[in-house]
Formats: sequence, C-alpha cells, structure tokens
Amino acid sequence: MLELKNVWKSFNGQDVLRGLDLDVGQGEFVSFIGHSGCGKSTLVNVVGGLLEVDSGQVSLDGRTITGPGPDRAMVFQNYSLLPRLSLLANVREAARAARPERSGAQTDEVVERYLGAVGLWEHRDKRPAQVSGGMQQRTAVARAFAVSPRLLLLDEPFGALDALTRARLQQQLVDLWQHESTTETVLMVTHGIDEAILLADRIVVMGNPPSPSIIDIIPVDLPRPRDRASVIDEPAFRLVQERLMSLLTAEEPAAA
Amino acid sequence: MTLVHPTAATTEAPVLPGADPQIPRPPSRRPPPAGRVLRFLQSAAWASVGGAVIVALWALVARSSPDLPNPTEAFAALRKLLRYPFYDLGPNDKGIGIQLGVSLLKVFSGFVMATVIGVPMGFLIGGSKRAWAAANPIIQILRPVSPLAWFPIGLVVLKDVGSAAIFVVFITSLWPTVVNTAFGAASVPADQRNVARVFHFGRMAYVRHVVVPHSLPSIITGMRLSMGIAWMVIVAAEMLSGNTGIGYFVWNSYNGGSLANVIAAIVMIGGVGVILDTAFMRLGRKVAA
Repeated sequence: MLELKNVWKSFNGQDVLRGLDLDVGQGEFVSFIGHSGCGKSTLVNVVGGLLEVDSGQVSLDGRTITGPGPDRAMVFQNYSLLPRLSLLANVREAARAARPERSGAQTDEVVERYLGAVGLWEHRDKRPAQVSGGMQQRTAVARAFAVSPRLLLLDEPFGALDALTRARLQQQLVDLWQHESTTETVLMVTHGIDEAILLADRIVVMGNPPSPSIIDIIPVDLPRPRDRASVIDEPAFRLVQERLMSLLTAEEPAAA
Repeated sequence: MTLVHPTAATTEAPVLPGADPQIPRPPSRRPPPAGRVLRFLQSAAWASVGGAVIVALWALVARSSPDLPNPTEAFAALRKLLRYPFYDLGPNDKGIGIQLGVSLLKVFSGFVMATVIGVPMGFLIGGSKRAWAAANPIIQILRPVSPLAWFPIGLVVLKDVGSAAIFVVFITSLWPTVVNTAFGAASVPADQRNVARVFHFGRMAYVRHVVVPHSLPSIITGMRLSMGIAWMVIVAAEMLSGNTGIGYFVWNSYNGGSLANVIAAIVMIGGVGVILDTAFMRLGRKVAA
C-alpha cells in the first residue's frame, strides 16, 4: 500500500533519511522508534506530504505523494488544535475542509461519532485551553479519524501525557482503528518501547549516522485484542522488548 | 482626575521625593497591599504626588515668565470652557465640546479608513513573502514622513481642508495597523499551518480559522497605536486647516492671546487620548482572553 524507495532527505547538510526503503501493507500498524534525530518524525512528515524528499519515491497505492491529502491524516505531538475554536469546531472544520464532498449532515454525524467515541461530546463547546492535555489529544485523534483517512500518521502522539492517560488513549486509538473506522493503516512514531510493542504489528528501529536509516524491522507476533495487563507476560513480548533494548542501547544517541 | 489641583499643589509641593522616606524603597520589599481598594488608593496617592510635582514646577516657571499662565489661571480657564462645552456662536466661536467632537469625528473617519484598508493589507503582506518584499521598502519610506507633509497633497487632491485633515489622519495611522497585522499574520505557528495543510483548509477557511484568530491581538495593538497617532496628528492638521476642531481651537486661542485656553485644551486633548487608549487596551484584553 505505502511504498518508500531509496528516500533521501537532509537538513542543513545532515542526511536525516539515508536511502530508506520500506513497504507497509494494507491494514498494518507500524511503529517507528529510535533516538532523537534519527529521522522518524521526518519520515512521518514525508508520508503526510508536509515535507518533500530530496530524492527517491514515496507512493501510496502506486500514486506518488506530492503533498497532503484526505487519504492521510495526522496527529501531532503537541496536539495542534486551533486555540480559538471549540473542540467541536476543531473537528468539524477539519472534517469539512478535508472532505468537502460530504453533506453538512454527514459531516455533523461523523464529527459527533468520533468526538463521542473519545468521550468528549459533552465537552464539545470548550476551548482547547479549557481542557487537559489528554482531552486535547483525544480531540486531535477524533479530528484525524473524522477525515476518514486510509492512512493515519501519529507523531509521538502520547509523549506529553501522564501514564494513565496515555494507557487509556492507546486503547481508544486501537479501538477506533479496529472497530470504528475505515482507517486501514497506522504509522506511529514513539519513544516508548512498551507502547510500540503493545500497539504495532511491526516495529521499525531507526538509527543515527553512521548507521543506516533503518537498523531493523521487528515483527510483533501477539494476537489481538491485546490486553495491556497480561500481554507483558507473554514470551513474545519479552523477546521483542529485549531485542529493542539491545538495539537502542547499542545505538548511541546523536551528540546531545 | 487628580492631576490638576492647585490647592493640593500648595500643600504638597514642599515634599520632595528624596525627603520622603517611603520613596527609595522598592515596592517588592513591602508586603503586598491587602486589597484592590488599598492598591487603588495607593496608586492614586502616588499619581497625585507626581501631579503635584509637575504643577509646582509649572508654578515656579510661571512666576519668572509672566506671559505663561500659572496653574490657577489655567484651571480657571478649563472650568470656564467646561461650563458651556457645547455653545455655538458662529464659525469662530464654538464650545470646546463641539471642537473636540469635530476632531473626534475626523479622527474616527481617518482611523476607520486606515483600519478597513490596513488590516487586509497587513494580511496580504504578512501572508506572502513576495507581497512583503514589494511593500516593505515603501512602508519603511512612508512611515517616518511627518504627518503634515501629507497635508498639501491631501489639499490639492481633495480640495477641502476637512477632507485633507482626514486624509492626513488616514495616511499616518495606516502604518501601525498594517505593520502589526502583517506581523501577526506572518507569525502563525508552524503547528497551525501544518494543521491547515494536513486537513486541506481552503484559503478562506485558513484566513478565517487560523490567520485572523491568531493575528487578532496584534491587530488590536496596531489599531491602538494607530488611534494614538491619529489623535496626535489631528491637532497638528487642524492647526493648519483652520475651520473647527480642537487643533484649530488651540491655534485660535494662541492667536487671541489666551495661553490659558491653550493649556486647558492640552489637558482636554490628553484626557481624551487617555480615554481612547484605555478603550483599546480593554478591547485588547477582552480579545486576548
């Protein structure tokens, strides 16, 4: 479905993406993990169409990605809600702009469904600043799903949240993806090893120079639905965890 | 207004700043005042100290310069002007309220035009690097031009002194609004721009939901600066234009030898300026909330 071929991207003379190749299949949940500067956010922004590659091919279903499109939606690390719009208006305006072919009633129905699914319907008239960070990020997740993207891109979506809120949001994300939406494929950048394993079908481990962009791709062989409490006792979970640990500790962070 | 109070001047004038043991101490070392009322009384007291110092200095200067009216005379003139502010005895003799009203009307006309043209212009300049490159040098050249240099142009083109004065107000109060709006529009955070791109906001939706809300505080700041300039400029413009208005009143009083009226008018001009500025400050706070 998503194909990246020999993708190069540099910032200020630093090669951030170095000849990266990656195929993501339809319906896959792929996590990207690595130290700061390894290019995982850059990669997601490239797929989202916010950044152009220096060279190489990025295509979705055979069509080259040249910019943002309604087939892809993003959830940013810092929530990125429009501060002067209510939560409802944030979701509605995005849905309306990205899906102009929908009727007003259709848009309203979708917006209500996803704001309800993340438990924010009764808070819909509040401004972002009036609610917690977790609620803001739930709004951003609802906004992304309300566009009905085929591909959902998450850039460290839960990094700024406390552990309990993060756990709840991870669950909501998986539920929405699997049961409540037409969204097929998810790419998620994360710093959390356990988060990556819990959510993903495959984990792409990325590295800083001189390592290649992709050090390893680890499949996560755990059946869904995964129960947060019991899954960590599975041998498969432990194996992936140890593998990730050793890869990430071997890979020294870029001079911080 | 506790600013001009001649009786207070005579009693408080000897208290020099250095002699008061409370003055040198920074406010942070004192425990915070109990409530808002106390704080207000405190600042009012200090304001009257400042006013008293100014009035005392003025009285001192007036004593050695007999042509300059002393505070008592100026205060009397102000009271006389305010007794019948709206009388109208023909083209050269109108109450100060009418004069201020005429000036305010001209200021608002020029200011509204400056806002109506300046805000969209600012959006354009702030939103496009090319428009910025095209407009910035012109703005930098036109902005420091003295307001009165525009007056002859306005007079020739518009053929009417009142309209020329409005034109001068317009052209001088345009720039702060343009520059501040452009600054606001240019400083939309990358997050919000990315949101607009990812969700395919059209131009209208982008302006309406991202640029305008983000720039609103800077627009209000620009309008506040513009209004301050407009009010300053109108007095000068009316001194040139004649006819009516507070600026003309100042000039007319000077020609009539009534410097006390000039000083009274200055106090009035300052007062109106404070009111206008406060109104915009309040508006700005409301918008920022």
